This record gives sequence, C-alpha cells and structure tokens, in this order.
Amino acid sequence: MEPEFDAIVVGSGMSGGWAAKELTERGLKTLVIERGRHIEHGADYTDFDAPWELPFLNRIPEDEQSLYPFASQATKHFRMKAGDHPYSTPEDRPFRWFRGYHLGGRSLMWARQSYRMSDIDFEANKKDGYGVDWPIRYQDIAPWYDHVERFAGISGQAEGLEQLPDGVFQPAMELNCLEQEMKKRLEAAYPTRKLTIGRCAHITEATEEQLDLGRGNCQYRSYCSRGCSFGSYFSSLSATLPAARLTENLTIVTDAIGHSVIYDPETNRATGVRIIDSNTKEGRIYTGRVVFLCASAIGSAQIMLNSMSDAFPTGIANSSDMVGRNLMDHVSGMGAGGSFDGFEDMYYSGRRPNGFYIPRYRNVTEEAPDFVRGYGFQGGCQRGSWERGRGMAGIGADFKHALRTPSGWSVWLSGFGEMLPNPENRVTLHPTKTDQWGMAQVHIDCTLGENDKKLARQANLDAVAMLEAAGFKNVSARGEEPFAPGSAIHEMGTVRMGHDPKTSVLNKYNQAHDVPNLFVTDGACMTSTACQNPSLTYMAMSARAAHHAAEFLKAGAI
Amino acid sequence: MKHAEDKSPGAPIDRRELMRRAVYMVGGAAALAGLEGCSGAEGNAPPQTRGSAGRYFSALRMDQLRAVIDVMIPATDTPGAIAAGVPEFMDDMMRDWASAETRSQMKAVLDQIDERAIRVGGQSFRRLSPEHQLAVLEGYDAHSFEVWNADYQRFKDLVLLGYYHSEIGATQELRFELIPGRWDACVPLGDMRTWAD
Repeated sequence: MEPEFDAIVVGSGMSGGWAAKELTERGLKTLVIERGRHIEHGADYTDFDAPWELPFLNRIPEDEQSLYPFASQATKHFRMKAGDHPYSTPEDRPFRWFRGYHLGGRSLMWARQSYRMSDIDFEANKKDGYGVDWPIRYQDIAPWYDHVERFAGISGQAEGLEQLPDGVFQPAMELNCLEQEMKKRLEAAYPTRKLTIGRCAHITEATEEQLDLGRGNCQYRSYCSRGCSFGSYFSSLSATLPAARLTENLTIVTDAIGHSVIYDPETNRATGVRIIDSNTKEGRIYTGRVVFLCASAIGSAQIMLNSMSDAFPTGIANSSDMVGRNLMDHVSGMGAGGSFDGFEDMYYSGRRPNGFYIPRYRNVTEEAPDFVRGYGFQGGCQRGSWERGRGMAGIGADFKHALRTPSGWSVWLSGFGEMLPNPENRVTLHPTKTDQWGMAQVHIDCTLGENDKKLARQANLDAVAMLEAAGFKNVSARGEEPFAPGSAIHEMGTVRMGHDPKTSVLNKYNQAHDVPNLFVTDGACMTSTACQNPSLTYMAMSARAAHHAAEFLKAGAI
Repeated sequence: MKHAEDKSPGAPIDRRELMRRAVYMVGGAAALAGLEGCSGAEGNAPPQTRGSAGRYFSALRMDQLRAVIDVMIPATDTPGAIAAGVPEFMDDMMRDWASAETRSQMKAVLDQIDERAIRVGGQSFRRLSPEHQLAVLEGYDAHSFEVWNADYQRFKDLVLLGYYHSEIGATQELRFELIPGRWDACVPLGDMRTWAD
C-alpha cells in the first residue's frame, strides 16, 4: 500500500518547523504532527494588550500560580498545566522539564538568543575524551547556519571570534550607555574576553522574503513571550510553517500525541507513526516514507523507547542502547549582579528584547583552573522603575514623586556552561506509571557531574570579578549551587550523533544508524552541548537533515 | 485535515490587524495616536463614592481602603490612586484573584492600620483628619519596614501595581508606549519620567 505522506514530522517547534519547511519545499507531501492544540499566529497572541488591559494586571490568580510556573496572565496560554503531563525523577535528583505543548512548541517561548557552534565545540569530545566524537565539523554545518540565519533573521555584530563564528547578520541592536562603558572597561581589564550585543532571532532589516511572509522589523515592545503579531522574532508560526504552507505540500494535525514509530522488519524501514488523539484518546496511524522526530530531546527519546518490536525490543533504532542516555542541559544558575554609580543623566527609549553576551573564554583564550570546556554569559544593564517602591519605606506625595524618575543603574550576568555527556544521565520509560492517555511516563535521572560543578563555581567567581573590574558596586554572586538540570531549558543528547553505530544512534546526516528512513533533528541529536544557546544549531541541523533525506528519497536510497 | 489558512477577504478587520497595518504604514507611536477610538479596553471601573460596598469588601472596609490608598498615593499634579481606581482593583483582586492566605493578610493590614489609628488618634482610620491619617500611615509604613511586616509588603505591592499599571498611573504619572517602534540606546534623561513597563 502506498504511504499517505512522503514525510512525517513529529513536533512543530524549532526543529519540526524547519524540517517541514525544507521537506515541503523539496516537493515532499509532509504531515506535521503536534501533540498540543492549534494556535493561530496573531489571533491567539496577547501582544497588543496594554498592562491595564490584562486580567488582574497580568498576575495569575494565586491558587493557579503553582500550575503555571514563571508564567503571567499574558503568557499562560503558552503553558501547559503542570500535572496534566507528569514525569518522575529520583527524589534526590530533580530535573526541571519545561515544555510547550501547542502548535509552534517552544519556538513561541524561547529567549531567541542565536549562536553558532564552532570547531572548538565539534572537536571537544574527541580532544578531551568525554562522550563520542561528533561525526560533523563546522564546515559541514556552516552553509546551513547561513541558510537558516538568512531566512530566520538574526540580528548581531560580527566579531571575528574563533569560538563564536560570525553569521549572516541583520543590523545589531545597540548597547546602552552603561553597557558600552562596561564593554570598554571589561575588555581593558581582560584583553582575552569580549562583550558583544546579543545575537538574537529578531528582524531589524526585513528582507523581501520575510516581508512576503508577513514578517517585519522588531517594534521594541519586548512582549515576545506573548507571541509577536509582527512576526518579528522567529517562530514556527511566524516563519517556517507559513513558508511550508505556501508549497501546498503541508498538512498539520494538532492534538495528536506521538506514541511510537512503526517499524517493518522486512524492509528495515519505519513505515509510519502511531498517535493518540489527545481529546478522544483513540489511536490512529499515519504512514509515510520517511519519519522525522522533532519532539524535543526527551520527547523524541520517549517515542523511540516506546517503539518496541521483536527487532528492537528496547525501542526503535536502539541497538546501541544509547537512546535516552547522555541527557544534558546547560549548567545554569551562575552569575552576579551589581549597581553602578554614574550615567544618572542617561536613559533609553524603547524596550530592547535582547541583552549582551560575553562569549566563552575558558579553555579558548584562557586556561581553566580545573575543568574542561567553558561557559558564556548573558547580561544586561538597566535602570530601575517604580517596582523598587515595593521595597522602599514611604508614602504620600514625596514617595510618589521619588518613583517618578528611574533609579540608578544595575547589571545582571547569567552564565551558561557546557555540561558533559554521561551515559548514566538518562531518560527511561517508567515501568508502571502511565499518563492519562495510557503512555508510559518518562523517568528522568540526571544530575550534574564534577566537571559541571567545578565550572559553575568558577563562573560565579568570574562573574563577580568581571563586574568589580568594570566598576560595579554591591556586587554579589547569584547562588552557591547551580540550578537543577533542565532549568536552562536546553535539553540535549538523548539520541546522539556519532561515527559508530555501537556507541551512537544517529549518523552524520541525523539518520538512525539502524533504520535509514528515521531522522532525529531536535536537541536529542546533540553529541555535546557546547555552551551556546542551542536553537540555531537545531535549526541548521534540521534543514541539513531534511535536505539529505530528500536527496536519499530521490535516489531511492531510503 | 488541513487547517483553514486564509481569512476570507470579507472578514472584518480586528483591532489587532488594524494596529499592525497602521504601524507598518506610519510607524510606532504616531500610528497609535490615530487609533484611540479602536481601543477595546473598557478602562478602569469609575471610582465609587463613599459608603458603597465593593464586590468583596463591605462598605466600611471599602471606605477605609479608599482612605488608606488615597493617603498612600494622593492626587498631586497628576491624578492619584483613587482616580486610577486602585481601591476597586484591590477589591476585585481579593474577590477573584487572591488566595485565602492573601485575603487574610490584607484584612490583617487594614486591622493593624485601624488599631494604630485608634491608639494614636482615638478613632478609626477613615474618621481621622487628613493630617492625622498621613501621620498614622507614615508611622505604620515606617514601622512595617523596620520589623519586616510581610503582610504590609504584599499590600503595598498590590497598591503600587494597581496604580502604576493602571492607564492613569502608566501614562499620566509615568510613561508608557505600547509599541515604541524603535530602540534608542542612549538618550538624555532630562525631565523624562521612568517607563511604566
């Protein structure tokens, strides 16, 4: 029987959107399966609501707050209710798993920071021996970084750094007064470090292609987390899915939970995907010639582990036993803050949805005392607004008058460190617990290792030292201990790429070693984490894999 | 199974689309100035007069709440918290937003203020003269920060939010632009006020 679709993509977020765009543009009839509900670009956003138009002035009713961590009234509709989608962890090893179960996934929730990985990252595992060697190098993915940056729209400043390759940039956003001063002082105190404006997926000089898709320049509202009706920041809903629709090769099914990949041992091919309708709880099967898993690192691993057959008793394409292992996140929770005396007569206008970035220097331009790999810092300088009144004594006309002017300047620095792969950090299917759809829950057992902790300690020390060197006062580190893994929301590594089918799941095309028409292109594929925000790499990886999958199909190779 | 993609050409244009188009044609704040009439906002509830019950608080409590909030953020050269509808905001929040714990915290604050008013001025807060109200509340506020009175911190937080994120607080007392349209990284502060958001 002929398959219904040429390609099935599970997941509609950062990676799935790119897979859909590239596959449909190559003439493949493509089905995108999304477990969450449909969201309409624009109509389902809250970005035109002034503060006073939001219910409860944007605060979630208190009895509901624990169900929507870190959300506001304006972003609650992009959060799944905690408890509806349970998972388990060992009691002493928490893992925080933030998800976006709706069309567009976490591409509607991301912080939009977009950085390339370099050969320092792609060669790291081979050089220091942690994990397995990446089967690709920078030159393999560089043209795909170009490709996705051109389409997505990345604003940034070229710096010529070996550890953070420049890309196809739209005009950079400007550093504010204090950030410019901080850059001068920091780079004078540390000639081997650099402060640059964040590279972010915001349009600052729209291309014809972007305008044709209804996207335009950033309006500096910084209400991105509510969705952007201007399509100024990159999301599946603003960019990749609309482009895929234009080909007329796209079909989207929402409310369809990926259950398993169906495998035919006679042909050694994936033949389709079984889903569960989230509303009716009924099962359904879609058939396709090629399957892309883009359900996020943990989600894709869950589906693979759940795809058991005689040929693959522990899950499809899992002959290496690596599916679910090597779960990583970025080490986070490090950083520092401080205040600054000066520039009292200067301010800014507009809300820049971006900060600055201090690229990695440890084990690049400077040695690290006792660890491998490194970390980068995001940060920003700003003046305080009326919110400071909460912690200030005073009432009446004088108090009101005092809050009229902004307070002094302050700075924040937030470190993101590379976490090493460790096969014992893993996702498994819970032996007994199931969710409301009868799917085995995932059990996540993941903890930071010695190197990860050493690196976090040094990041705190560095953050404080840099702020003090740049002249900030009242400098304090953010916390003694890094956050629990998962907190950076950069899960990776559960279906890693590698040369050797015995120690990795995917080859250099993101194609399963065991099942040649199965591709995994989300964070699961990452052989190491680097310390840069990873979404841009997922985009490039997805586009590249889709290109190769289409070529293989055309050649009759899969 | 495909989702409908295109809105039919005859479909009415909503406020969102109108704003989006206007911004691209004219740019930022200038466009919005012409769209005042398109606002879907009903604005804050008009301030109620003395002696009327709220949706959550009794008439007496509402009178006290109005008196307290009026002293905290009075009308000066700009409207104060009464004109901004903050007492009604607090009342709504207690009815529809607050947890049981927060409700009892807010009640405790109002009780503490009345106790102090009676101790210092011999009558309940709402009956004191404006001068006495100011003195009592200044004393209570200062003391609350000395002893770190968490109940009052939360009360003050809600009052400030209610004022500075009201339309009056954000646009007349402070400054707010829904769609700035541009980023000016370094501008002289001059006599500019702080951004409300």
